[in-house]
Amino acid sequence: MSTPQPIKLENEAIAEIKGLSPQKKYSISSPLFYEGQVPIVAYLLLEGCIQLLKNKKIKKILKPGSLIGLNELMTNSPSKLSAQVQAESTLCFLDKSTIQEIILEESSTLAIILREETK
Amino acid sequence: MKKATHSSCENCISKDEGIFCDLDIPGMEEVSHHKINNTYKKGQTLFVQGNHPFGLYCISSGNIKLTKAGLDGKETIVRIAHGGDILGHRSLFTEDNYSATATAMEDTEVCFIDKKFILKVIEKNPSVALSIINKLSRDMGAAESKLSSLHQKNVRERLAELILSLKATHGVKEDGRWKIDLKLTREEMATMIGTANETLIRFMTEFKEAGILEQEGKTIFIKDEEELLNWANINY
Repeated sequence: MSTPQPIKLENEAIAEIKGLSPQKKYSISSPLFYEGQVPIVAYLLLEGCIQLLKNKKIKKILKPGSLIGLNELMTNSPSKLSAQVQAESTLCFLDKSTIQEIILEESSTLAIILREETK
Repeated sequence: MKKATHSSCENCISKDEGIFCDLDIPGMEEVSHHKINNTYKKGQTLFVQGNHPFGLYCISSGNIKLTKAGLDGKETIVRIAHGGDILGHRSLFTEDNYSATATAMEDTEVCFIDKKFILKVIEKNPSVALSIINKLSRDMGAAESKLSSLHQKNVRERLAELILSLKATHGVKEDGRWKIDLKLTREEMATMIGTANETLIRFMTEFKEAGILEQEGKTIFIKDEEELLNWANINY
């Protein structure tokens, strides 16, 4: 089990992800992943907030620019915390295939960050 | 960080009913290595109606209810998926958001495969595409039957038909009876056949008094399948 560590991204990397993934607004609060689960994608928060919870208690509130779930997704490690996106938040997503493609084929700022974070 | 071990598709208890059953061993290993395997506890949601889909969910074990929320906020169960079923497959071919919410009815083991990867698997292995088409066709057939049933049948017939369809997907033969251990509430069953809670209760009592059904808590037992078929007004 691993504790998800949000990665704070700079504007350049955020812009790269925006170019790769659709931006989606959550009209209602929704679970992203639960305690003990591997996230199915990595989530980049663009607007609003994501709560990280343990036993339904808030442990951390993520702010825009945070990428969450990357390490757990790429190492197949269950998360020690659940993540809940709040209503009216906007997110981008990176699935496993896209992350692997970026890591293997690109030399952008995002590729460097992803390589470093998934070592 | 140490990588966790992957559960293999080859050892999946629902392998023979899944979409990867015709893959060779290297093909299955490739999927096993890429997929994400999670257990959802009772009441946890896999995805929410209106949200963006990311790929395909394959159910290994357990039951998942798909519900649609109406304008009044009331939820209707549109389908109950079980081991070997897939969810989110329409998202592979459209850009539509999820049209229903998927919630685990018990502890359920589910694998997730992202859209990009599954499309590559389909390109290399047409048998996977055929399996998905087969599932889509069955879904469509079930939806058409449900639609005609809602228009053409009375509540008694619809209830009998629902119990028979639950028997076909989730029934277990036990001591000469069919046991349906889905633990559906009366309200959930009522929404599945488009009737009021009170009406459902009245007809369930009628079925029990006729010796067709028995109930122990939320578990339903079919005692007289032939008579249930007559009441459903269908010929299998």
